[in-house]
Amino acid sequence: MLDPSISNAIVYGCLYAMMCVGLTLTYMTTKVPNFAHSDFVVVAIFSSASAFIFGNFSSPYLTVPVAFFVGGATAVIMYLLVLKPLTKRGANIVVLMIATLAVDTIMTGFIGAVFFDYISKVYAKFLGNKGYYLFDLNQLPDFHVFGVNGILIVAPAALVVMTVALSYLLYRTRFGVAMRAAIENPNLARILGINVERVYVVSWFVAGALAGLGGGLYSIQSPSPPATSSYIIVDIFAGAVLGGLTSLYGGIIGGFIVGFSETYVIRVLTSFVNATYGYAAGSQITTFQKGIPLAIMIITLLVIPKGLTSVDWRRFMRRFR
Amino acid sequence: MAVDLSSLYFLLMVLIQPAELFCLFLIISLTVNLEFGYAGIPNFGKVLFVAAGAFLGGSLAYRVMAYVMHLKGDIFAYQALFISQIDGKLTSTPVLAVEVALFMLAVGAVMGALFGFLSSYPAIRLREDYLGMLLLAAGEFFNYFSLAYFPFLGGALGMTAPSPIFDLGTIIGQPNLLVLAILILASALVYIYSERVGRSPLGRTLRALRDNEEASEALGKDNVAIRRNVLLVSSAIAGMAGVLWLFYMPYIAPGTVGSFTRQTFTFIPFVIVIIGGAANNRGVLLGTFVYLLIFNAFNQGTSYLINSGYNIFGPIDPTRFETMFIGAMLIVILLRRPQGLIAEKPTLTLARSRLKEIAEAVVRKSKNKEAKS
Repeated sequence: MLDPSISNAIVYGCLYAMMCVGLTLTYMTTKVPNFAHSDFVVVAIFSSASAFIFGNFSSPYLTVPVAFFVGGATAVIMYLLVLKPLTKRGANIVVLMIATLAVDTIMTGFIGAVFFDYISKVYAKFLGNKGYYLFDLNQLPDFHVFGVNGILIVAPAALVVMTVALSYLLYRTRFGVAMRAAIENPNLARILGINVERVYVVSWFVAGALAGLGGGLYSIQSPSPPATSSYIIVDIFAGAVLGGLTSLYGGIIGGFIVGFSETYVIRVLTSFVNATYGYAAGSQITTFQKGIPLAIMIITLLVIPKGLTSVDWRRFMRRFR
Repeated sequence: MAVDLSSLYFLLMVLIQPAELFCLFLIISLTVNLEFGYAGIPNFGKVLFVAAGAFLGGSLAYRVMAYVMHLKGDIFAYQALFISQIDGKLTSTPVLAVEVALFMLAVGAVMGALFGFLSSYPAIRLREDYLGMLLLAAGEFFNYFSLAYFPFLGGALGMTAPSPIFDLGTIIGQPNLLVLAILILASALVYIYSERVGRSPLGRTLRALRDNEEASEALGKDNVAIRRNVLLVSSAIAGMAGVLWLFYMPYIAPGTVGSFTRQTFTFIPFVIVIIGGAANNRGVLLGTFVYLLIFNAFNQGTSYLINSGYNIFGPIDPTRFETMFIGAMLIVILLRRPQGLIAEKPTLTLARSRLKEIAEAVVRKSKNKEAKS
């Protein structure tokens, strides 16, 4: 079957694509990079993990819908309580960014208090009997279809379904037309009688829900320690910047490239260095893992600051023909 | 009633640590004020520059001293022994201690400026949100890297830096007081510097750049160069603040293991600047005081409650509530009083008395005209 380094890279690519498209959507509607986006992911991870453990479900996949709705609800609450009132007061972009940082701090405290202190300590005996904790669901045996890991089927399938559903919503429904109009020109849309506030609430729900879905599947693929939020934020921003922050498909492509290259390049480099210099040298390479999304971000900002979707690919191809 | 001198001395000793923290947070918040308050640059990677100064300044000083003193062995495994030998040597030779302190400060400043230049270069020409994202990502990467790469700082083990100022103080007999004196001197210098920048033509240029980028460009200002220079200077100061932090607490623990987190060194300075009022150095002074008051009251209150048997928090770490409270407070301030406790004053280019004279002269003239007609 597939080489494990490639299959892992594909799974991470799909998960980061879901997270990045959410960030791109919030950026398109509110015009602010949301620094709390990775916390939607983490809240969703631990809500679905708690639901799985305390609900005695047979497989962690069954509680992924919990992650979907918790992520969406968190995003809507954040938009209604923080960003909407601030935008109404005419806050500029730097103030909005600081507000999202504040939300990030609040949620870090909340996640730590509820999941790492309360649940882990009060239910320590219960969790001990179960043999696993909230942050290592990836230790559980995955189901297999024709010898392929379940996550390798579920993650790409979820991404494809979500992309198709989002395209249908945006391009085939009346609400989608209203949504695109509100994103393109909120004032004109308001004049034409579109309820822009409702459109924004829905798009924040979609963004948070996609982040939550990515998170729910992320906890099955990878261990998710308390610091997960601060690690994945680098990937999410790199993917969204690579995609250009102006198009949902750009977000999907950017997220996939970042997740894929981060995992795959590190595996290839590690095996190469191991073969050349011995085992200990290769193990140091993984410490540069988060350097890859950062490098992608820097190169994107230097070469194509408006992202992949801004490049005129036809002209680009003609030049090399 | 005679004043009991020994209790006065005890009070002074108790106040030393909060005073040291006050100076350190004041310096870092002043650099945030210079960038965000005056120039409108969202430097969300402040922790990167503080940590760059502290990690590189501290570890380089330790390595150089271990090399110079011919200490043989693994510098991580034997660090407790090595550091006690290095500190003993510094205590016996005050000149060397001064040199080490200056060396650490210089390395901190250079590394802060270098990191500031490198990490802002790709995005300084773009809109401020790209700069914010890039700096934040760079800060997270640096923390992740220094925690994961063992040969740099010993991974989660951390590293102890030499503490030259403390050693110098041991010679006098008052180590903590000397550290406090150095911190007060440094924060006073940074305060005077940012006050002078704020009042100078450069300060007005920065405000113009913040408020209307196109207008300042139309008046012939090189916006990109100004922004880059502000970032360089404040990052150098932040790097030195990292080294000063080591004088206060000589333990380098990377990332989430120690105190060098995004929460402490990026978020808290922004909170301080916004509480006090942006583009306003007196506001930063007040903001630092208010923040540390809340911080200390919270710490003392929770430890008092827990020690006296009322553990209302259950299994939850009380600092989580502090984190949530600070975040919520910032949002409430942004909503209710965005200008902060001390609002920014309009810039007056002439002295107040001179402006009044001019205004009176104008009024007199118009009255004369009315009287004539």
